[in-house]
Amino acid sequence: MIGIGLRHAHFADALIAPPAVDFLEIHAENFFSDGGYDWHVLDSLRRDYALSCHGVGLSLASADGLCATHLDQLARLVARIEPRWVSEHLCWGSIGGHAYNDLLPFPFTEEALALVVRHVDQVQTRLRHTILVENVSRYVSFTDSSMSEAVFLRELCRRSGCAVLLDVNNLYVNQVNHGVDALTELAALANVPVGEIHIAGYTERTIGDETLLIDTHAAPVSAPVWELYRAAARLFPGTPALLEWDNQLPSLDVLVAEAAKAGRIDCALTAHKI
Amino acid sequence: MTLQALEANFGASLTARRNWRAAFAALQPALAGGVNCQARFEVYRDNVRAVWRSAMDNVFPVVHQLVGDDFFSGLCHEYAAAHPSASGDLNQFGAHFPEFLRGFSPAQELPYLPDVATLEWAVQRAYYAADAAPVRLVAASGVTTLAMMLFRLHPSACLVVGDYAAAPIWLAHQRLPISLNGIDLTAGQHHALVWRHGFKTRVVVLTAGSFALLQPLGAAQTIGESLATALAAVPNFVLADEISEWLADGVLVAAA
Repeated sequence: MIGIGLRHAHFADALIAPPAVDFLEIHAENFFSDGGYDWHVLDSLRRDYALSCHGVGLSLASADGLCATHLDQLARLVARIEPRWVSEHLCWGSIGGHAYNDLLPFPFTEEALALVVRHVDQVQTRLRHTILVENVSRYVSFTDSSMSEAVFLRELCRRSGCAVLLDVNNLYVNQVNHGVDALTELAALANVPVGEIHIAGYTERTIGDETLLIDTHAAPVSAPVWELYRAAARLFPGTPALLEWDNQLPSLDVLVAEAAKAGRIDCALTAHKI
Repeated sequence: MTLQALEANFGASLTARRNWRAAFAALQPALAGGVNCQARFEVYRDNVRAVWRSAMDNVFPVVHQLVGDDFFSGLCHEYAAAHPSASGDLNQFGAHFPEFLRGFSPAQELPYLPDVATLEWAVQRAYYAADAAPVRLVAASGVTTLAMMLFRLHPSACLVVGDYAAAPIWLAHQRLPISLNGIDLTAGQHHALVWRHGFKTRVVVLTAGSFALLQPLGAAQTIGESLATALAAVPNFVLADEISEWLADGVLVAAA
C-alpha cells in the first residue's frame, strides 16, 4: 500500500482526479474544525480511501502530562473519520502552558520512557485505538540518553502495546546529524510491530564547519533514503508506505509518481521473496 | 536534570530574546557536546519563529500587506512574546492579535490595524465553522409566516463592530490594484458581517440598523422579535430587502 499526505494545495485536484494511491494521510490538527471546504474534501475522499490520522501537536513526551482539550479534540476527530491508522511523534512540544508548535527532542532515559508509556496508554484508552509512534529528526542530542531512539521505541511498544511509525528519512537525518547508524537502529526494531513507513526529503544546512540535515519535507526523497527504505521494506514487507511532502509542494501527479516508487520497491521485494 | 527542568529550560531558550544566551546556559549542560551545539540549537529557534510567522501570515494577510514584510515579521515576533502560543493546534495562534495591536505603540500610525485584524480573525473562524443548510422558502410563504419563523445566524456568521472601516479596507485588498482611495479612514462607528456562503467566505458592510436586526438572531428569535429589537435600538431604521438576501445567501438559517 502507498499513500500521500492530503494537503490544502491539492484539494481541488484530488476531487477532480482522485490520486492513484491506497490511502491518504491528514494532519489531525488541520481537522479540529467543525466544517467548511476542508471537511467537504475529506468527507468526499474518505469514502474511497483508507485514512491515516497523523497528529503533530499532542506532545507525548511533555513532562506536564497531556493536554486534555487536545486529546478530546483528537478523540472527536477519530470518532468522526474512523481512520485505519492513528499516529503521533516521539517528541514533546508544550511545557508550562507554552506550546512551541514543533517536534522537540528529549533524552532517551528510563524516566522519559515511563512517562511516554503512561501517555501512550492514556491516548489509546481514550481513542480506543492502537497508535503508531514515529521516530523524529533531531538537531541536538543529550548527555543523559541511556539508550538509542530505536531501543526506546522497542520498549515503548512492548510496555504500551503501541506500534512504530518508521520514518526512514528521520533515521538518515539522525545518522548524518548525530552519527547514529541507521541500519543498527533498523536492526533494533526487527521484531517490533511497524504499522507505517514514512519517506520524505530533507534540506541541507551548513552550520560552522558541518552540514546538518533538516527534516523540511520540501524535496524529493534522496538516494540514501531510498536505500534505507529498501532495507526497511525487506525487514517489514508489505508495510504501508507514505510519502511526506509539506513545503514547496510539487503537483499532485509528481507527488503520486514519487510515492509509486515505494510501491514498486515493496512489490519487487515481496515477489523476490516468494 | 529532570525531564521537567530540561523541557522548561529548552522552552525558555527557544523564545528568550536579549537574555537568550543566559537561558541557553541553563540548558547547555544537558546537551551533548560539539562546538556547534549552540548553532544546532538555533535551528529550533529559527523553526519556531518561522512556523509562527507563517501561521500569522495565513490568518492576517491584509495586516501583512498594510505594514509590509519587515514590520509584519517584527509584529509576529513581538506578538509571540506577548501572547505565547498555548495550544498544539496552530490554528489557535493569533486569537489575541487584535488586542495586542491595540496596545502596540509602534503600530499607532495605522489606528485601523486592530479592527482589520479582528475582521481577519473572523474570516478565519468562518472558514472553519460548522456547516448549516440554507433555508428553503416556499414561494407562498407570506410576510406573517416569515415574521414568525425561528431563525438563527449561520454558525460561521460573525458580526463585527469597530471604530474604523475594517470591512472596506479588507475588501479593497481582495482585488488589484489595491487602493484605499475613497475609504474614510477616520474614527467612527462601523459594522460588518462575516460569514461563509457555501464554501466562500464573505464580508459585507452593514448599516447600524441591519447590525441591530441581526444581533439578536445570534440567539434564536423570530424575525418579528428581532425587528422589534432593531426598531427600538435604531428608531429611523428602514428595512430594505436585506432579510430576503440574508436568507438567500445563507446568513440566516433555520433555528435547530
